[in-house]
Amino acid sequence: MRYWTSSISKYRLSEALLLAIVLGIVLQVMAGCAAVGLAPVSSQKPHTPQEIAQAAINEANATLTAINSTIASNVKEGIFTKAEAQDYLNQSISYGKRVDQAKALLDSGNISDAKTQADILQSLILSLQRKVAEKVRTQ
Amino acid sequence: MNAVIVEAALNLLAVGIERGVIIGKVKELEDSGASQQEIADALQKMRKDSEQAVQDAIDKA
Repeated sequence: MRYWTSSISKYRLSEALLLAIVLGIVLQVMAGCAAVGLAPVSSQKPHTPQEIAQAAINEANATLTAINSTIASNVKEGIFTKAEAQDYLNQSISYGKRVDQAKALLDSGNISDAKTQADILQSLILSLQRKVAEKVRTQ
Repeated sequence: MNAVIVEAALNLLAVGIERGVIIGKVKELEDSGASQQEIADALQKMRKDSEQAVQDAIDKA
């Protein structure tokens, strides 16, 4: 009886310890997201419609750069195969070209369309980011 | 299951850190008096350079 009680206590202790470690990492991530992950790229708040559209384009460029860096790290570490990495890169380049098109719209004075294009792209880019993260998790 | 959660958390943190690096570079540009157009151009260049860096990594893998 004493043996079983002791075993259960040890098991629960190790479970609790593991849970505490995981919780600690999750809290660190949340803090990281608040500090850097979800923070806007520029500290200057956009005011005019043109500045708001440009900020959306900047966000898209920054997020794609972060995704690309993650893809590069994962292919270097052998987590992604060359084919997988190429597939993600092709998607990223495709979105990048559309970001450039949004910038061209903005430069030609078509502010509303530029902002709409950048907003749509941002959700597509976040979807790509999730796909890249999920691929890492399944390794 | 726990390992999956930990890896996901670390991966999200890695993306956050990459964004942090970019935010730091933008802050440096802002502090040096760069215009919004220059900052936009710099971000576009960062993205294009990162695309080339991924392609180089794939070719070397």
